[in-house]
Amino acid sequence: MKNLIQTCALLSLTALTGAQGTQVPTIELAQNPSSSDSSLVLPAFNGIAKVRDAKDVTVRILELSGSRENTRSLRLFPLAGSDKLRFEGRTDRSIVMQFTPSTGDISFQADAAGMDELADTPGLPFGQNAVQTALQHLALLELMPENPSELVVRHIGGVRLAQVEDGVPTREFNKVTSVHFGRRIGGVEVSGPGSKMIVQLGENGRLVGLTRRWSELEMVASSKRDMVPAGAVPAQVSLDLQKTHDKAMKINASQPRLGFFDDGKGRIEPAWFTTAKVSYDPLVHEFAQSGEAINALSVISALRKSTADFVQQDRAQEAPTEAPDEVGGSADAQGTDD
Amino acid sequence: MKITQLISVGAALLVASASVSPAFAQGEEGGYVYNGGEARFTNNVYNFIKHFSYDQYYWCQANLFTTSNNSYVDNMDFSYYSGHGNNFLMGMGPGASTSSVTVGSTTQWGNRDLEFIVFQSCQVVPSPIDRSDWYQPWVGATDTFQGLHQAIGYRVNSYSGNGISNNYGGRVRGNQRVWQAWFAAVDDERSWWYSTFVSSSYPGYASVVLYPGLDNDRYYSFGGDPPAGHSSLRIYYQH
Repeated sequence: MKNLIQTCALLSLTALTGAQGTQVPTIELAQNPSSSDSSLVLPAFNGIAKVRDAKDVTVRILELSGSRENTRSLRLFPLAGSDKLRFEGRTDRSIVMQFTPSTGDISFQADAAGMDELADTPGLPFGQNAVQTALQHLALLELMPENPSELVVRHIGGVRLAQVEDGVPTREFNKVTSVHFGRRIGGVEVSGPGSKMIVQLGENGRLVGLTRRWSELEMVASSKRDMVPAGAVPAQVSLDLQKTHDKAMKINASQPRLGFFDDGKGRIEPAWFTTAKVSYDPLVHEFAQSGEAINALSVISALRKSTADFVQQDRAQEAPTEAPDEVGGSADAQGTDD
Repeated sequence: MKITQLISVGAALLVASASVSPAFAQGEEGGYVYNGGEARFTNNVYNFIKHFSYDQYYWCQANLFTTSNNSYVDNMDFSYYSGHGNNFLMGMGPGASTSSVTVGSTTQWGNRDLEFIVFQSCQVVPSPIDRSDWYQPWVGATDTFQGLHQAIGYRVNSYSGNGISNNYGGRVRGNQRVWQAWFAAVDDERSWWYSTFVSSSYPGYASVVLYPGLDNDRYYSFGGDPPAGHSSLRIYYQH
């Protein structure tokens, strides 16, 4: 059985014909999972939200960010069509705070000083200065993880501004610095929409943004028996990639790697991550006219019985239709288009 | 621009004077899906427009963006596209009669209605670190910004089939500033995975081009239309 799966994984399959007569993409998997990954037995975790109540955390963020909002009468209101609570600044209307009570998720945005001015934001921290400033903010807000050693810096970036007038572009201006912290559990990387804190810094390191999707871990015991056999992974990855990219011509996948996936909804599970290059027939898909390939990432559970949300997207309740030739016979008032 | 005339304030006064216009509470939204493509594109678009009493929901055809834009994309206040893209290019899909639309003189928007358009696709809104001519197809006497306020998307390759469009729809419906809501929704989804193939963080880096002074537009309260044929453009982008 194992040999058969390995053969399938290494084989460059010619295009297959699907159940409805449609072509499915050719797929090449680079290798089976490494022996070190294959031998790992990883637990799953339930994520436990340990964030104070919405008003308290909002007030503390506003105070730390130097807001002049009147926090004594502050109220958060339900955001229509969601399970979130929302606050919008009255003094500074750039301030938006969204809080998800069930998960403790925080999403806070505000403008840096002079956000729309053609100048660098003064005193903007970069590099390790930015990391240290971001950590100080998290500590002051008491939003650091219970186990700080899980926190790892994934990326330091930000937001820039540029402008063009009469065909003459300005230089680019640094407006915000962003520090993205991710998570590592026992040396194993965690990916997915959860397990992250993104801290955004403005003038002199002032807190101007925070995206926090982080839960504490309650381990769920698991055994080798609970995990998908490593030998079965290539076939499952192939199916996942072919299903997701069913209009592609060819999929060139890398070696599956074992990590954790945090679905941001209270479940962290071991998962197989496989990156791929997906290419398309340029005669059919003009965006790929110069041979461009898109990056793809397949994430499938490493557990036989998964309860995490690996899909992360609601299915459309209705399909689009073909547009009629004209709608309402409207004409272009300016006469420049149609 | 029928709606914006109700809010005849200068862009500089926008934030102070902005308010929800009862007339605009019935704004027009359109969704346009890569024709015959992967299921995620349909899901992307639907999960945005479902937040509104949307007016259009069509498979992409080039004329919706070009020769018939006054009946389609430019007949909306907010248009949302999802599909495969490239620099300044929207793929129409294998089911469309023309395979792509390139931003520029064939896509003059805003002279009828459109204020905001989102491209949930790769690379349609490149930044100065991607291309030195990042502004050229957007502004000029016969280019895309003919009253359009903001064009929003990604400057690099992007991943979709996630929670972004649903999150973004809720934020826009909640009247958060339009491009800032996009950047926030992208950050809500952001994650990281080390690999030889994926050199940037998931789901990609957001970008917006807009008419200077309309930076603080919200869907239910925004500034006056910029003049047709102007040559001023501002970009914000993540890196």
